[in-house]
Amino acid sequence: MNVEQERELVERAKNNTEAFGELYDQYYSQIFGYVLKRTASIEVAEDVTSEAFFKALKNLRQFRWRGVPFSSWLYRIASNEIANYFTKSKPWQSSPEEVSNSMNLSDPSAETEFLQAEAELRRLEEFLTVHENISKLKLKYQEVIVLRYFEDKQLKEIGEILGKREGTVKSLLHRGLEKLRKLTE
Amino acid sequence: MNKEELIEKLKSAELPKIELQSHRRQLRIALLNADYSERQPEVTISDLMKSKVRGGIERMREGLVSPRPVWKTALVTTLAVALAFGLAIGLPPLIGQSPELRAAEIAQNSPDVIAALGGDEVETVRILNIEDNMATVVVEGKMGGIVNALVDLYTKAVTQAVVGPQLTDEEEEQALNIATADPRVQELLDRGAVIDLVLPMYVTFSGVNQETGEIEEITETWAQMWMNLGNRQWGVQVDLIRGKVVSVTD
Repeated sequence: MNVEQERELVERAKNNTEAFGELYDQYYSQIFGYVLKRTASIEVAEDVTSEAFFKALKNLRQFRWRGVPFSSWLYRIASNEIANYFTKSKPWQSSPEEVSNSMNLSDPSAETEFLQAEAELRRLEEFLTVHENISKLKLKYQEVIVLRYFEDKQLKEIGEILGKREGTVKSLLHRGLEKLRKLTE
Repeated sequence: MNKEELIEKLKSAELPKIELQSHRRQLRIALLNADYSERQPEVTISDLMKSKVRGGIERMREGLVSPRPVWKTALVTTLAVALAFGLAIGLPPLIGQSPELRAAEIAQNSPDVIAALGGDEVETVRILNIEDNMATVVVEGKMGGIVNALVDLYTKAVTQAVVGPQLTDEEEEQALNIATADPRVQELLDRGAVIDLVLPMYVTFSGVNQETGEIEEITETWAQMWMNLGNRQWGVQVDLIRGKVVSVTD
């Protein structure tokens, strides 16, 4: 989908549920993946992604096209939701009961998929170790590091997502890496 | 470990490529079944009157104390009429008989307003002020056009419908640059707030012409932007002419 097609789709989605569904299909994986890399929790990623898309749906009519990709707007909402999550809660520590309560127990396949996903995530030891250190940084450093190195975004795009100037992003990245380096020593 | 090694480590880490089809399906269904009428923020006109518009205008007045160099620093009068085009909210439900709701209903159904919008459909209606049965209403069309309407609540008619200001792309970029250079805005951005909207606003005030000594009315186009963080919202008024943020209000 090129920029013009996306723009047209976004405009249609403001009044058409099916068009919003197309946008959702286009960006669900990206947003879920980003939230998962930020939180390292399947359950939190599900919740935050859901919240982010509902906010996008609710506020879509306020979205104005200013040359910034729609995906950046979605990333921005997701980043805000992650910030909300971190400021409202303690680091995620679910008991097995909480995990099972949060799932749709009437859907055995969903439960199986969830458990498989948890197992898959636990297998990624290197990522989890890196994430653990990143999660000790302030949120402003976490988001630029994850967007730059895990999401492979350029500084300009990170600036668009976070509403910061490119120079600010560069400076945050530099300081964040320095702090992360000290944590990994 | 030096910085380059750390970057290499970050880049080479095996990242989760997990996707839950069940969650994807369930969320899609939930989103598509969501009532479209619930899309818009639940803000009523009266809420707006109390929390945003009046406060905004009052703060605008306070902020109008640094006119351009040609004018004397001190303003002769505190009369400052700010026709702010700064709030973007959903069209509130037009029920009830409060003056605000009546004004909104009259404005959005006015042929003059629709004509000024170039026949566009109304998207948002904002009440800026009601005084002596006259309401100042801002109507925004779906295509982004803005009309400032004066509504006579006694005769239930729109007495004036004027096309509002527009910001060029350059002015919008200028406003963003000015705002993001401001330490107050920077602090909010650092806390995770985002700039959601940049809209034009007219500012009219009286000042003394230093050359003639006479009081004259000055009208300028400024920018107003809205920043959001969670449930909190800040309005940022940017004086494009003097290149500074006039106020940041919660």
